[in-house]
Amino acid sequence: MSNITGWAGKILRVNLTDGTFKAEDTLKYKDFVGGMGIGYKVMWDEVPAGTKAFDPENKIIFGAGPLTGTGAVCAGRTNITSLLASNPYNAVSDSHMGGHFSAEMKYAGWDAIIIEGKSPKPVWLKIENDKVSLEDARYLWGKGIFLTTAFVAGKMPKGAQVAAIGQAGENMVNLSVIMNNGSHSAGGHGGVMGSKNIKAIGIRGTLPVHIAADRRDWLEVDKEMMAVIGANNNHVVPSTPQPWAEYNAARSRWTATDGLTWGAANPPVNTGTCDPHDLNSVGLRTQKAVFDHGAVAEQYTVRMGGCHACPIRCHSTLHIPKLEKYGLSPNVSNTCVGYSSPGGIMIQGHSKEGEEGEGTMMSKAVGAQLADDYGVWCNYSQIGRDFKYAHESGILKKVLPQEEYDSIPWDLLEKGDPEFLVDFYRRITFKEGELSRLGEGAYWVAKAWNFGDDYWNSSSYNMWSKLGFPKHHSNETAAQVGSLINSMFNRDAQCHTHVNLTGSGLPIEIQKAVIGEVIGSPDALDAPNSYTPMNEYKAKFAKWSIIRNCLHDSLTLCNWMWPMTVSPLKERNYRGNTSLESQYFSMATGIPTTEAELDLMGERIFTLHRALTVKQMGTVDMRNEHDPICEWVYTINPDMQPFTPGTQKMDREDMQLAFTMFYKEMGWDEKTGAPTKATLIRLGLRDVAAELEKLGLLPN
Amino acid sequence: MSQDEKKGLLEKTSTRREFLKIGCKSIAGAAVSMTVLGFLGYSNAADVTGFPLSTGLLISDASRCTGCRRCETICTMFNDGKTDPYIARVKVGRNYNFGRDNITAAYRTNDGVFGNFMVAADTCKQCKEPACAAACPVGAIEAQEKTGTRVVNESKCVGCGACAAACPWAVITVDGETKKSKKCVLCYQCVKNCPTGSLKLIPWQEVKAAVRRHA
Amino acid sequence: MGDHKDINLLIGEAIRLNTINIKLTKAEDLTMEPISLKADEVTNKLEELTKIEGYEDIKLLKGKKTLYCYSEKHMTGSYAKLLVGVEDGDLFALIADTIRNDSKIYPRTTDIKLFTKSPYNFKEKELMDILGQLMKSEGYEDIKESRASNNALYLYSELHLSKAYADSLTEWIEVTSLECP
Repeated sequence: MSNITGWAGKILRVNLTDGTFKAEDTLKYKDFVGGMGIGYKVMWDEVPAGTKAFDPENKIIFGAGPLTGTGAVCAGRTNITSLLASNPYNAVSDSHMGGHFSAEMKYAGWDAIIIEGKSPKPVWLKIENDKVSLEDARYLWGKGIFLTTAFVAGKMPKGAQVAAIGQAGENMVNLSVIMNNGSHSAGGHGGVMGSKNIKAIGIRGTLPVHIAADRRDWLEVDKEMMAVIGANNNHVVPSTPQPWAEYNAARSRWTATDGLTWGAANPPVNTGTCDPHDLNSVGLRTQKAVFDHGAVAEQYTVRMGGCHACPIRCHSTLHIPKLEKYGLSPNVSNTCVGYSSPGGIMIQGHSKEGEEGEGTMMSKAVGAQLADDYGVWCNYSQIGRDFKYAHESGILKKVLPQEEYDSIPWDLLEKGDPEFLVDFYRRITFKEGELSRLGEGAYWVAKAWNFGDDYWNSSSYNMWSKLGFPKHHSNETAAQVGSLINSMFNRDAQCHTHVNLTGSGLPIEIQKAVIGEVIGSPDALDAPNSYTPMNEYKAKFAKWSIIRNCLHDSLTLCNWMWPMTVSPLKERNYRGNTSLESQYFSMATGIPTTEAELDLMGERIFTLHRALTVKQMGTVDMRNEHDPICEWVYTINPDMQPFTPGTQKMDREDMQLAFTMFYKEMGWDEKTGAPTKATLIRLGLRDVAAELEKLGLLPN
Repeated sequence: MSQDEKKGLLEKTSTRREFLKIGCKSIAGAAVSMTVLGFLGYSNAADVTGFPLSTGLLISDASRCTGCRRCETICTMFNDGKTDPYIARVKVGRNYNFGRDNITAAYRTNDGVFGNFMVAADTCKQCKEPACAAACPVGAIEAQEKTGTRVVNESKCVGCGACAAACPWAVITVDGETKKSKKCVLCYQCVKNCPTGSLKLIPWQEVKAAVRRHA
Repeated sequence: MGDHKDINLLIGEAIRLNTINIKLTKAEDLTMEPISLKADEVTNKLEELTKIEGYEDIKLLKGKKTLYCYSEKHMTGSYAKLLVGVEDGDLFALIADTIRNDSKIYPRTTDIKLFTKSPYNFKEKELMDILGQLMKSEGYEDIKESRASNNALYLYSELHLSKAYADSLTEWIEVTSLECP
């Protein structure tokens, strides 16, 4: 028996071109932790610059990590790394999905699955422990994700998990997803699977995941974790006054209160007071249906749902009989943008029929189910905003042929009838007509349809970067900290380290004190909507936020919850425990690793991402080619100045200083923001430095 | 016990399988139905033969189970020092996507995450006349003296799997690594750690009270 | 009078049980059976109790009408103060204290819908009347209105927030935060 713990020890390499499989040694990648780390290393080593997302030379890596499947709290994420078709350079990105897929990978004995080449005909990948085969998918091709999952699961032992693409991925729509467990989707890479003719992965595992530590030590850490954990997004105060709480915050996701129920459960489940010491009510803290849809959703709420080994349960599941009117199942599940994005496509508002908020809920529920079955992504809700701009500016009328324009059910849109979405998502999925170009992603749409400066420069359209992605907890979240974070990736930043703190609901002095203890000074964080000029601690905070995000995507842990920066406990002065990742890692792998040592591994992974971006963009000038922010960030609130209470309008010079300070923190060239040879070597990326040097892509 | 008596028990149990599957769905909250109690051998509370009764009945309330599978991971970490849902003594992962039964065309409205979202854990029923114990050729499944909990005596267990084949609930499994049978010992870790309070231990007193109410 | 130790336990447990049920214990409650203290003994008895080992969780709050007690094991001081405010019936103070605290420590403006929720439990019409009066009353001149773009009403204290700042916070909480889920 292998002595490897934490990790399963094996990586599955699948060559679709010749239908062969290879088991490789995970520990080759142990310096990259797992998940995202393995993904980026494989991309660096094996995918040449200039490769496009849908080329057979591209690879797609499904990654689990040493904590996945151990039952470590919130260790249920699957990281997927590949090239991103919606990015102008098809640069590398990671997408993630929750659910149970990566846990099942570990139980089958695999830390990662590398898929390369292209199958000559549609296949699905079947994995039962170490039994691997490619199965005929010809009867699945053209089917939605739900039916595909049922079919694949039906061909496998009970308990199998299935990751699949829908017709959108098959058709290589840029904005397409890979989905598991019905509502957990990874955005942007569906088309990569489609381009390779692989429809789904079905996996069943019956093996254990071992840890190095004694079970009692592990369970002690589990106890600590459950003591400090909050609600969804690690919000640690309730949204209404509760007897156990000193504080409360209207927008906190700790929405439980006596009388707020899962109304469609039988019998209805009362969320109740949810004292933070009560282990049996952690999953009741967030009534996400009401949070996402308003009070009207309470009666339709069957229960909450979510990922493997996570007690938070941040997906809502709804039973809405009216959905059948649209040819859909009455049962729908999702969370956050999975609902709000389809809602955002109804650019002229929602039906006022029925109870208050019912029309809006119907739009979101109809759209969510359609998107989840077709497997359509949204570029973090940008598809709706692109549609809005194109329509309101008159561009759509210009670029669509008359016949196509007339065929679009504009009357439904005007009425707020979600029947519109049935038509819209079909067009996007099957690339019907010019409208479907919206599925290419903001950069390509804006280019093809010649969007004006007003698209990029108006805050209404949320565009963060000329590379075609919107903001995601940016300047409005800790000013320069959020802004820096948002500029660092090749798509919308999926980092919640910083926003979990600012949204935690705690008074600002406590937040500042806590982050001060982590970063080195409370100056790392400003009061909401009242920010101050840049300082080095903000750069450190941005770095720490991203590093933890990368670590979580490699371990795999949920960054929508981790790190445990704060806790709901008055007796702890609301302090959490930021060493829990390294404690879990040490215990699982048997490699004693301090908090700082693990953070260094995160730094390595993130710098590798930067190196990949430099390589794929063919330039070291990240400051001017990759990192710039759209103008509106500097021009909103025209009557106000930056650094005054009431605005998160940024200052150009201050942001340039922010970038400089951030580059310095990362050990990147302060002028260009490209990784330096010295830093790459310090981080154990000597081979990366060598290749960049050969390509002339090291900063001077 | 003679071979004939054992066989009789097994046959009795296997004809129960269909009923028990229906019985599964009726377990919710403390109001355990007469039908279910009957199948477990508790139709007459006074009629105690063979094994003494255990402390109570571990159930999973389907109205509250959200399929997080924390019960599975805690169970095996606590009892086996590893994470191994396959041998977890409470099993929910296998019901997660499509419910307990085989996938049908009505999967969008049947149990499971792809349907009506009903998920519940399968728990050891601490049966009055445990089929696992009856099937065991070496008598490795015993009732604990004080609590009546049915447990596997690992020093006797030979890992043959007869118990796993006999259990109508399929909650007892042989550990592929240790070759020992693993079954619920009512350690309560799953109950303590269930984040929604779906897993509950119904003490025998309350089960008996339910019998009296329905009688 | 019963045994001294027993009385302490009776009182302590009664207070704790009430607190678990989200209720404050009033001084006069302790004159009733089975505790049956004399009215003029209660205050001293309670003050004594809070100093005894094992009863550190028992806390006292002086309201306008009476003395209240609760157990800190089951309720925070800030929540207890809210309940005292509700019991006291000084509605202006209750509302204004919340608003001023919000404006100072988070900082944030206060959604008036908060006051329709537990433990305030104002009815909407009643609330609008009270707010109208409050904002015209002496000693509450700092309480100002802040409207979101959807016309939702928030309040803030200008002792701690400027109008521009308050309005930006209101808009964020009410509208824009929901657009960035």
